[in-house]
Amino acid sequence: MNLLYFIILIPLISFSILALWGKRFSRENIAIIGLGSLGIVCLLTAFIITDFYNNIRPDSILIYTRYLWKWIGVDDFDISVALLLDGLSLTFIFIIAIISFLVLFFAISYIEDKDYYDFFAYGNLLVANMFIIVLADNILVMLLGWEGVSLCSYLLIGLYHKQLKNSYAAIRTYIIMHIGDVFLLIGLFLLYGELHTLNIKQLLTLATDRLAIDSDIVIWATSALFLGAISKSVQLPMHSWLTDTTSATTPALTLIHSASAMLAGIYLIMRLNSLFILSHDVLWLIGIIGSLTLLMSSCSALVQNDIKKVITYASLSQISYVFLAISVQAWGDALAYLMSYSIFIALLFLSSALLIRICDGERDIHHMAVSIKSNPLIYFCFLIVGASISAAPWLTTSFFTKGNILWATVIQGRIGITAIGLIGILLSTLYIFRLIFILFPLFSKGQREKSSVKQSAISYVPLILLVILSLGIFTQITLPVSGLMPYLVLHSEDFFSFKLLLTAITILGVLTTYVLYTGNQTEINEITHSPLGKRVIPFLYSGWRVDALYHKILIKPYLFIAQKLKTDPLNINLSLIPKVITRINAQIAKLENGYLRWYTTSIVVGGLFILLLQVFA
Amino acid sequence: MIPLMHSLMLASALFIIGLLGVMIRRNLLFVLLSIMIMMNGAIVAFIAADHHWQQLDGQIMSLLAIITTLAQACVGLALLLQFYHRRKTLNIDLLSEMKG
Amino acid sequence: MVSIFYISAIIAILASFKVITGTTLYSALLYLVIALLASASIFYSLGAYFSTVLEVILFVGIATILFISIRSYLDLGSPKFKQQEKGNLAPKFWLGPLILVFVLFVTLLYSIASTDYSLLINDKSSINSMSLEAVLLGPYILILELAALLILGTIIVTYHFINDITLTKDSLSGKPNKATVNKPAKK
Repeated sequence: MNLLYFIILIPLISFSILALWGKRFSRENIAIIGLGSLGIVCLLTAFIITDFYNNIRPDSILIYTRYLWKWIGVDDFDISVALLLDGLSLTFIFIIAIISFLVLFFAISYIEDKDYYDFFAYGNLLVANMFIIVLADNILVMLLGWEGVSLCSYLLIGLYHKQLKNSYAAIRTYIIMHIGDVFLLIGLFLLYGELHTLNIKQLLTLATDRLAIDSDIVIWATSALFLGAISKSVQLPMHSWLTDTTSATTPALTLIHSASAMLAGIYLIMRLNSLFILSHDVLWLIGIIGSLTLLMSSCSALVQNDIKKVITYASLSQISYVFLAISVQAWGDALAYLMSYSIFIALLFLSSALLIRICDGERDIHHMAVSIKSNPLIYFCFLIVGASISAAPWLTTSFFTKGNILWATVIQGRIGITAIGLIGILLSTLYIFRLIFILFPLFSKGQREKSSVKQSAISYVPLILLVILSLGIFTQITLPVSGLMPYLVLHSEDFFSFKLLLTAITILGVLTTYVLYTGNQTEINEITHSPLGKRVIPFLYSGWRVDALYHKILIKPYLFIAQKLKTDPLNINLSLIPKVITRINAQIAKLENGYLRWYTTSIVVGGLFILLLQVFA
Repeated sequence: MIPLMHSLMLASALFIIGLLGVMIRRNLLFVLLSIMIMMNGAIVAFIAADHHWQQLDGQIMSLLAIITTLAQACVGLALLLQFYHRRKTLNIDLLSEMKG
Repeated sequence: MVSIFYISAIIAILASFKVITGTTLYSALLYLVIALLASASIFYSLGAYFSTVLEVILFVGIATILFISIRSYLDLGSPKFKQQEKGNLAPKFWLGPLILVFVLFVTLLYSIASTDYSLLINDKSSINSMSLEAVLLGPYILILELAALLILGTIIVTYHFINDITLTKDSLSGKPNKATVNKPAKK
C-alpha cells in the first residue's frame, strides 16, 4: 500500500511523455507507453487489493491514510495533500483501472493515426485525475481532480476537433460541467462556513455530530453538492452535454461513461453519504430526478435511429438506477450496481464501436443490419448487454443488483419509485432488444457481409473479458464497504417472488420486441403514422424537448440581456466623468500659454489672495 | 526719527511700481529694469528695518540683495543677447513656444 | 533729515514710475539712475552709510553702464522699435495689471498701517556698539562668502551665454566689453 501514490503518478508521467513527445513516436511506442502505464496501474491495483484483504479484520473498518505534503497552510486553514484508501475508494480504483485499461487496449487497433497519441495522452490524464478524486482525503484536493476530469472530457470529446460539431459538443460539456462546479463550490463553502474543515473524514464526523437532520444548512449544502455531482454524473437538468457528444470517438465516450465522469459524481455522493443521509428532502429529490431521467432517456432510446444516440440514452437510463438506489439509501447496492453498470456499458459501447467500424462508419441503425453468421462474437456481446440492461434472470450481475435496488425501494415503502423502476426495466428491454433485432435481423435478407475493413483479433479481447466480468457469478463477492455506508437488510420471504416479477417483465419486453421488430414491422409503421404517434414520437426523439426548454428559459433571456448590455447602458453614464475631466483639463491647459507676463500676473493674484487671507482673516 | 510705517509704505510703493512694470512691459530690457526697481524697494525695506531697530543686519542683507540684483542683471542681459542674436527682437511674448 | 527722506521718497517713486512707462531706453535708464540716487539719499537719511555707498557704486555705476553697453550693442533706436514700444503701452495692456497691482498696493498699505509698531520697538541693541566691518567679517562672514560665490557663478554663466555669440560673430565689439565689466563687481 506504500505504492499507492504511484497509481496517480504513473498515468501522469505517461501523459507528460506522450503530450510532449508523442508526435515523434511510432504507433507501437505510443501504445506501449499509453497502455503500459495503465497495465502497471492494474498490477498495482491488484497488489493493493490483496494487501487490503490481507489486512482486513472482521468487524472493523480499514482506512489507510498516507500523508504526502502540505499544500496550503494559512492560519488555521490547513490543506494537506494526503491519500485515503478505504473500501469505497478501493472499489472505485478497481473499476477505473480495469475499465480504462480495457478501453485503451481496445483503442490500440481502433483509433486512427492522427489522433493516436492525443487519445492515449488524454486517456492517461483522465485516469490520473479520476484517481486523484477517488483517493483524495480533502475535498479541495478532490476538486483538483474534478476539474481535471472536466478538462479531459473536453479534450476527449473534442478529439475530432476538425468538425465544428465536435468542438461545440466539447465546449458544451465543459460549460455544463463548470456550471455544476459552481454549485459544488457553493456547497463546499456552505459546509466550510459551518464546520470549518474540508477534510472528508473530519467533515463527516462533525456533520453527524453537529448538524441537525433536515436543518437548512444541510438541505442547501447537499442540494448544491448534488447539483454539482449530476453535472458529471448526468441527470436530467444537466444531461444535455452527454447526448450531444455522439459524434465523438467511441472509445473516448466509453471512458467518459464507464470509467470517469459518470463515476466521479456518484463517488462524491457516496463519499459524503453521512451528509446526504441527514437530508431526507434531498434524497427524495434525488429519487424524483433519477426517475424522470430514467423515463426520459428510456423513451428517447426507444425512438432514436442513430446507434450512438441509442447507446448514450441507454447509458443514461441505466445510471439513473444508481440514483434511485441512493434515494432509498441502498448505498451498498448502488455501488454494486455501479460496478456492473460500468462493465456492461463499456461492453455495449465497445461492441457498438466495432459494429460501426464493420459498417464503414454508418450510424443509422436501419442501414446497419449485419448477418449473425459473419459476426457471431459481436452478436453474442450484444446479447449479453441486452441481458444486462433488461435484467435477464440469473444470467448477469445486473439482474441481481437491479433486483436488490428495486427490492430496497419496496422495503423503504417508496412504491412510486419501484413502479418507475419496473417501467424502466420494461422500456430498457424494449429499446435494447429493438436495437438488437434491427441490427441483427433474424430472418430478413439484405444483410451486410463482412466489412472491407479488417478488424484485428486484438479488438475482441477486451470484449471477451468484459463479457466474463458481467456474468452473474461475480455477485457473490461482497464489497468491502461495510461500516462505511449504511446497508439495508434485503433478504426476506418475498424477495424471490419479486425476482419472478422482474423475470416476467423482462420476458414480456423481449416477446413484445420480438413480435414488433422481427417481422415486416407493419405494426411499427402503423404506430408511427397514427395521429398520436406523429405527435409523441418527435417529442420523445428530442429527449422530451429539454433542449428546447433550455433554449427558451435560459438561452433566450441570456441573449436578451446580452443584447441589452451590448450598448452598455452603464458606460454611457460612466463616460461622462472622463468627459468632464477632459473639459476641465482643456480649460486648465489653456492657462499654460507660455507668456511670462501671464505667469507674473498669476503669481501676483496668488500672492494677493494669501495676503488678503492674512490681513482680513 | 522717521517712522517705520512710512519707510515700509515707500518700499511697497517702489515694489508695486516695479511689479507693474514687469507685468505690462514686453521689452526684455524694461522687464530687467523693472526687476531692479522691485529689488530697490526690497532694499529700502531692509534699510528701514535696520534703522528702526538700530541694528546692522539690515545693511548686511542689503549688501547681499544688491549683489544678487547685479548678478541677476548680468545673467538676464546675457540671456537677452542670446535671445536677440537668435530672434532679432526683444519681445518676450515671442518666447512662448515651450508653453511653460 | 526727515525732509530729505520724504523729498527723496517722492522723487524715487516718480522716477520709478517714469522708468516703467518710458519708451526709449536712454530716458528710462536716466530715470532709473535718478530713482536709485534718490533711494541712496533715503538710505543716507536712515543712517545706513555703507549701503548708500554700495548703492551708488554698484547700482548706479555698474548696472547702468551694463545697460548702456547693451543698448549700444543692440540696434534699438530704429523708428520701428519705437513704434512697437508705443503700441505696447496702449491701455488695453496696462489697465488690467494696473487695477490688480493697485488692489495689491492698497492691501499692503492697509496691512502696514494696521500693524502695531509699539510692539516692535523694544529689544536688543547688543550689536549696536560693534562696527559694520566687525559684524560683516565676524558672524556674517558666511553672507560675504555667499555673495562672492554668487558673483563667481554669474561670471561663468554669462561667459557661457556670450561665448558662442562672440565665436560666431567676429564683427561684434561690445562683447569683450561686457566680460570686463563683470569683473569689478567681484571686488
